[in-house]
Amino acid sequence: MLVVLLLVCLTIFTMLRLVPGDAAELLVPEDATPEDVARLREQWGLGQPIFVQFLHFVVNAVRLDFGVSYRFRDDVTHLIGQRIGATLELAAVALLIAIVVGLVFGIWAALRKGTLVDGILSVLSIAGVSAPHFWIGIMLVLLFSANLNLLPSGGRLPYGIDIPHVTGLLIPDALLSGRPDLAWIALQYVVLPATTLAFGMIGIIARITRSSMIDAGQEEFVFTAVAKGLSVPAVVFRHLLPNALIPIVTIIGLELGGLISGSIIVEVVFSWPGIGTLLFQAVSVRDIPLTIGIVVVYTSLFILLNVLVDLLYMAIDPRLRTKGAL
Amino acid sequence: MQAIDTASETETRPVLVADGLSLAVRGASGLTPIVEDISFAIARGECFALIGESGSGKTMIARAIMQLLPKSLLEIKGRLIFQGRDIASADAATMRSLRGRQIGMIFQEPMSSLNPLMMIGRQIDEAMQVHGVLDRRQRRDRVRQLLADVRFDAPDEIRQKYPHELSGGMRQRIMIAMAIANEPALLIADEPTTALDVSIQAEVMEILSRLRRKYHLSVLFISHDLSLVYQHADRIGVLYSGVLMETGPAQALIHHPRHPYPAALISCAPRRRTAGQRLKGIEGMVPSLAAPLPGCRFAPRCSRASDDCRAGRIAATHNADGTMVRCLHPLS
Amino acid sequence: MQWFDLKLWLGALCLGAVVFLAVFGNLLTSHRPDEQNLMVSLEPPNLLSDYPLGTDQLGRDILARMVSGARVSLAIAASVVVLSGGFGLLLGALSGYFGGVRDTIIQKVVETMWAFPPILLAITILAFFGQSLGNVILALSIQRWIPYCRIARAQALTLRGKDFVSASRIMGGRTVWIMSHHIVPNLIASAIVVGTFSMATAILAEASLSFLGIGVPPDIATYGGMLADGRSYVTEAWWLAVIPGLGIFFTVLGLNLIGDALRDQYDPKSHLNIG
Repeated sequence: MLVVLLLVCLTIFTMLRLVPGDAAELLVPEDATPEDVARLREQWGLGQPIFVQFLHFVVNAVRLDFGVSYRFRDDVTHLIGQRIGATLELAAVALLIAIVVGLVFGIWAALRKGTLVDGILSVLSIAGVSAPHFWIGIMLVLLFSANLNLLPSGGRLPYGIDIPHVTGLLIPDALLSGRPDLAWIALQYVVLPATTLAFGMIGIIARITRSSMIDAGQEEFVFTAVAKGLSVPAVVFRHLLPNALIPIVTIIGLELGGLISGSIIVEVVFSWPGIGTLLFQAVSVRDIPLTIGIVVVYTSLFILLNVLVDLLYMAIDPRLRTKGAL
Repeated sequence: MQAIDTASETETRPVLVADGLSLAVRGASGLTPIVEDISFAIARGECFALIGESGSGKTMIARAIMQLLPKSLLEIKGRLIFQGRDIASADAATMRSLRGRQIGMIFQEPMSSLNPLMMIGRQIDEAMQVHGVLDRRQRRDRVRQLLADVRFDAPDEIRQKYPHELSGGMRQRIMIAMAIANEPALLIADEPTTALDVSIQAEVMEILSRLRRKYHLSVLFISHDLSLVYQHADRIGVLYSGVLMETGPAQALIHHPRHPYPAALISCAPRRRTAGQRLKGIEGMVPSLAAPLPGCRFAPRCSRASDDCRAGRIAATHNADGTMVRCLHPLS
Repeated sequence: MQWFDLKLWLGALCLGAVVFLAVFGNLLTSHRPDEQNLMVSLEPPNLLSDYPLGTDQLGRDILARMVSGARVSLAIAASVVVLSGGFGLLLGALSGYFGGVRDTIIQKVVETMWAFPPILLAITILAFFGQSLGNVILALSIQRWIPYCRIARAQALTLRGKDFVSASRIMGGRTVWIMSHHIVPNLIASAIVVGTFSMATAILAEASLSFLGIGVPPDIATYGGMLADGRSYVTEAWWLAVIPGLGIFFTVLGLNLIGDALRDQYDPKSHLNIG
């Protein structure tokens, strides 16, 4: 894993060096003084052999020092730190929605295999992955905000409302501060973007749940469970579902990348103050330090999530534990 | 719901009676018959072996008793009387209360019959918890005792293990422990040793016999192997192509079979005595019940068949000594 | 079989409609996509009028812009699939066939590229190197070759051990010949399935990039660009958001249906392979 991270840094570094122009110029705002430029040269090791420059790059990345964003005139790390909570909360809520709704529909379709419900699910899940996130977002806003006036159309909180900062995640923060009313407000703001982000994934999870449940249902231990006298819900939830989870977790792991890239689009559509919007802003003005910082953070997050998925496997399936290293 | 029997009635009344049982499977092309007009009785504490080759329908009988397949798939005609109640037409709730409590079942494939994600102790515990008989501590003690019953020396160790850490023979013993956890009246064993090594087979059979005596269990033992049931069964029923050809006490049936089919089976069984003798077989193959065959279904392969054997359905002859033969020319 | 036919035909229908639009678009409308006419701005769709799909805030014909969008998305997606497919299949086949150090190195590259969340690299490339048609195709291809590489490598690995390949080598068969005569033909079915789904995601990705404004240069009309443009007017002019979105939707839906049908038929085990 560390090797991969290193190679990722190498890739970004290579791309950076391939950009035409003086590296120092690229990394520094227009109105920088010669001292700033000199300091930058030293920090990034510019002028020294490429290998040393790469070393500087890696060291800086590890220290979470990506320089200063010229658009925001602020430390890149600080900027990311401010906004990463928003992205994490959005992704978490979206994942939660996708898993819960997906599992429910998948189990339902598996139990009603071959019926109309099953067919509808099949169609809806293909349709769900065929629509781009930004379109779904706009459509949902059109429906729920503009027409029905039920939900806000953008942002994370209404102007003037503040939630005390504990974790950076608004809903838990509000609850922890004893203000469930604020949590409710925050929830209303996160619902549409999270649903938009979850859209395609619901269909994917539902489909794999369905097929996985059907496969697990053919296993002998299901007969054993029935022969013990267990009721249908007990067989489904205590025996079938846990065994069906493994392929489902696999698919969720594979979809995490899509979740991250989708979040960038969704954040832009909903003016959600996360690092996705930040990336968009950075890219619009060719703010290289900020871009690099966000790319490194996103990629590290992705790698970390994959590791967590692997750990989750081991937690679910005892057969993987005795085998040792994964 | 019937009234609870008195102790004497429980002792004398057969645990399971199949009366004119016919099973058919509902598929895309309609109803496929599996077994026809099966009748037998299992007394308390008795081991009744149902012998048949693959395709004879014996597994389906086991599944029908437990109603493991939905009624939309498996059609049951006739009566299945368990402890005085007809369960062929019982509803789901009744079946659930019987399964694992009054009727236990063990299956053929121990490698896949246990939930791979659950600890052994938990799976056995679940068999009792579901019927709410004992409290947690009592169940824990009972699990230990059951594991000792099925010959595990270190019950506390085994309790914490997962199925993949155990061999096939060990898993089958766990299955037995689960099936008898609530001291059922009837244990259905569907080819429990077929997938096991010969040495483990003997061990499992011995455990079953011992438990049968200890708990006064009636056992419906389904197998294709006559030699296996020779030592352990009290009575045997021979199934051929979905029809019960002969039933009778085990020793008598094996030494003096009356129906040509079991006679042929027994003569085919390799014996130690005469070396150099060729292995015998019965020519032909078992027809499925779905294949239309007027008359006796064994006739095409029978050396004693005559024209009236092929004419129409052969009725069962019930003898005074409690045996049954379905043949027009039985051996004496 | 029934499902297969239905999915295949439905998919072909959806995709066919879009292809038709792209190919014969000039016959359907006389306007050019960038032709502005403020006199007719924000006209609702009216199938009988001169602007069947309506106009946007600058009076541009939506239908003409949809034709342009169809052309761009199909052309880019097709190029991406051909480029990434060719590269991936070749690299995978070589990697699996030769094995050893070369294989390990290539696999490490695969792992590294796979570690980037999908659109991120594309965004970065376009940010660093500027927006152009070529850069868009490159940016979209840079990760898409990986699924092809995987299936080709798997195929090459299985074949490496097979006797007839060893026989070919002994008889002096050159690598290229072995590749093209043994390895490649077995890959075609899987490659087509991967290609179909890959094209679908490429269209979605291109639309997203255009929506963000960092895709194809903005003077060319694209679905994503149209959605970005029309977003602010969507409350008065719903067609500005609905119609381009439907364009993307039907194209991708068509490809997904076809891909699904093909996969069920030819490659049912590959559920987890598609990137």
